[in-house]
Amino acid sequence: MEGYNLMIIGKSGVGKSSLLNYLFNRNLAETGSGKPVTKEGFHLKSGLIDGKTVNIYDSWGIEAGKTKEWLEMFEKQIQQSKTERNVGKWMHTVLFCISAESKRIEPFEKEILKVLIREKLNPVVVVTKSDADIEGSFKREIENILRLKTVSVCSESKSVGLGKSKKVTVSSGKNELINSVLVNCIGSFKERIVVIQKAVLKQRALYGKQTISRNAINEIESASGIYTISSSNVKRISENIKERISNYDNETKDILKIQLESAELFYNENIYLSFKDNIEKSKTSLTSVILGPKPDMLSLNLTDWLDDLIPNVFVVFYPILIFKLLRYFSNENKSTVLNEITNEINNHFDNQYKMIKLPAKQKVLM
Amino acid sequence: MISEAQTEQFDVKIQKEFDKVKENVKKPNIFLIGGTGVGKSSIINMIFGEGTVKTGEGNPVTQEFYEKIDLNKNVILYDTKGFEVGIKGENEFEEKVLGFIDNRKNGSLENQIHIVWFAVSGSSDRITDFDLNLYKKLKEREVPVAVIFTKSDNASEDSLNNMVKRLYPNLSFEKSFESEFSPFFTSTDKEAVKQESNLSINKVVDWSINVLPEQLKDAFISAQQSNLELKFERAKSIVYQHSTANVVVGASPIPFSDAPLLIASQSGMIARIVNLYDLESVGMQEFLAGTGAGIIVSNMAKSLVGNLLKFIPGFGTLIGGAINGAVAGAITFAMGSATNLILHKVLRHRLEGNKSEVKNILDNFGPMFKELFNESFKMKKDGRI
Repeated sequence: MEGYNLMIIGKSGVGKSSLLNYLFNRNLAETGSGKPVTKEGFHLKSGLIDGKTVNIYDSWGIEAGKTKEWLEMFEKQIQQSKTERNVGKWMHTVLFCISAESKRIEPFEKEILKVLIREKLNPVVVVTKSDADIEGSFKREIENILRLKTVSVCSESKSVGLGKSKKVTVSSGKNELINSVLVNCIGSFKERIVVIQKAVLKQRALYGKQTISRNAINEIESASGIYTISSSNVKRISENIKERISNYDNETKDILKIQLESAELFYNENIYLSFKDNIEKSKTSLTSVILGPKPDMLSLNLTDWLDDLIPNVFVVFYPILIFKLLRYFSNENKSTVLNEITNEINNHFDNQYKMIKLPAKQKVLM
Repeated sequence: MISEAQTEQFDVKIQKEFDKVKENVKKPNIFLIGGTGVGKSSIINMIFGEGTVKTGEGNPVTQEFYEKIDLNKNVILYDTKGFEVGIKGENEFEEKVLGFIDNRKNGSLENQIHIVWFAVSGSSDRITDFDLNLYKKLKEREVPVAVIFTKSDNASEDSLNNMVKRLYPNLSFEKSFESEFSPFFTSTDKEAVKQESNLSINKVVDWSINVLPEQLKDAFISAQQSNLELKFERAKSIVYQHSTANVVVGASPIPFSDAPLLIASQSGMIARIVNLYDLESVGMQEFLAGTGAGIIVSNMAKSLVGNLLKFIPGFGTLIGGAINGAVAGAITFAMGSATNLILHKVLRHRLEGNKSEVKNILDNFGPMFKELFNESFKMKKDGRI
């Protein structure tokens, strides 16, 4: 699967499926009236927008009386996207829909929005059915409350009003929305790559702590029964432990590197290019707002921080290990010394995890 | 003859009668249900006058499970917290609403919930399961429920048709749109309502008066400010009731010493009409001296009393004589009609924001009343009414 992945969420009836169809310019999602249409879960629809592949997950609308079930579904999806290592499968941004006809944002909607922001999903707040907010007062009110920019969209051209008071709505807002989506994809990409890397490293560190220290202790304990105390034996055990840690670290480094490289590739091939295209097409002032004067700022340079990520700690760690082992073999309170060695190894992994720092917050619209 | 003392008595009597009407009024209890943002507050304001409750954009406005709105009006509104998604106790909302209605069902008439207005946003395109279940359970309780589709100016007929069908499987939008029965379709867009009278909130008002028990109708007509003609018609029937009663009082020629008896009935009538127009709640204070709830009536009574002697045509010839029943009836009729016409005019101009007209009427209250009185009196006496 290529291209951007988006998710559309919001209350039932705000026009999520209509928005999807409007973006794709095709009726891919079933829409309707009278009762809620879209069934439980997330429903993937793929298509082209401005010649780029886009995958949109249309979702079950939030309904009074069913929010518990909805939240469970939502949280499952969020957890899943949190641990997804393949950048191509990430959720790149979320379209959060609020209907202009209701003229309200409810506390529950605000909570969901907070979760999306916390998870670095960089939601685009879409004011749907904007034909009910022609003067834009609701849009401004929402922007004031949320302190976020919003995009007003009317997805359908249709006849509204009853009897002798009919009028026609005209769809609008698509280009502005696509621009916002691209901007937010970049924002979320830069922030989330760090979050995801952190999650990967945390997982690796945890696993390393469990297996590497266990192996090291096993080796030391079994050696104490077989070998006589000699500096060469101590050295050999130390080398083994060092190698095991080092191998594990290299493996971790490779995983992160591959992920970063694929992220960079994905970013350059999909997001960066289409963003550039779009900017050249639209020539709006948007470019200068987000990018500043230099388009280079768009590049990620992710691998820059990789070299510092897993430092060579053995300069300090190795002598300490030898010293501890000597104490162990001179029968000096064996269990205490073993604990100390375990702690040393665990610290090594914990420190790695702490090394990843969130980059300075990206300046993006919203 | 009518002495100074008696006219003074008339002044006090109207005031007393008015207080009595206010005290004894039986207020309908109206329960308003609907999701957050469907426009419940707008319904209240359209029916009971601008600014009765605040409407809002942005954050939900109503704060508790329900808000009891008295506002010195002749109805009591139970405005439910607009049910929201994800609120704590979202699942208890239905239980609470139904429990509230059930608990009051077996109490005295005044305690019961008399009408439910069930608001659904027409432009939301949806009746959720939550709406549907609540509606069905309300219907089971045999309390009159009016479904009001708000924001119909932003809804498509097709969509409304699907919504109507979900609540009323045997009905279609087309059939329901022009009927006098629930569901109703409203809009806050004044232009749209002007173009399409079926969008008028007056249909909800008419329906509500129809389903209310007889003894509660007066209060509702008084409280609503959307249909002035209803007040006018109701006042006409009050005038009719009282002038007929006067004919009985004066069936045989009565000496003028019986005037107090006549006055009692007339002051009762005037008090009821004044109450019907409920001028206090539309901010008349800025036009009149003094403050308080009785301000309109006290001003009116003063003006009436000051002119009373002049009102009665051929009064001089009656001195020392007696008023026969027909004349007594005509006097009462003319008093009531003049009051009705003048208050109708005041309220209409007031609601249209026509301040200078309101002031003009109040400044010329005496002469205007006299003119209207004379006209009505002649018409009644000549048997033209």
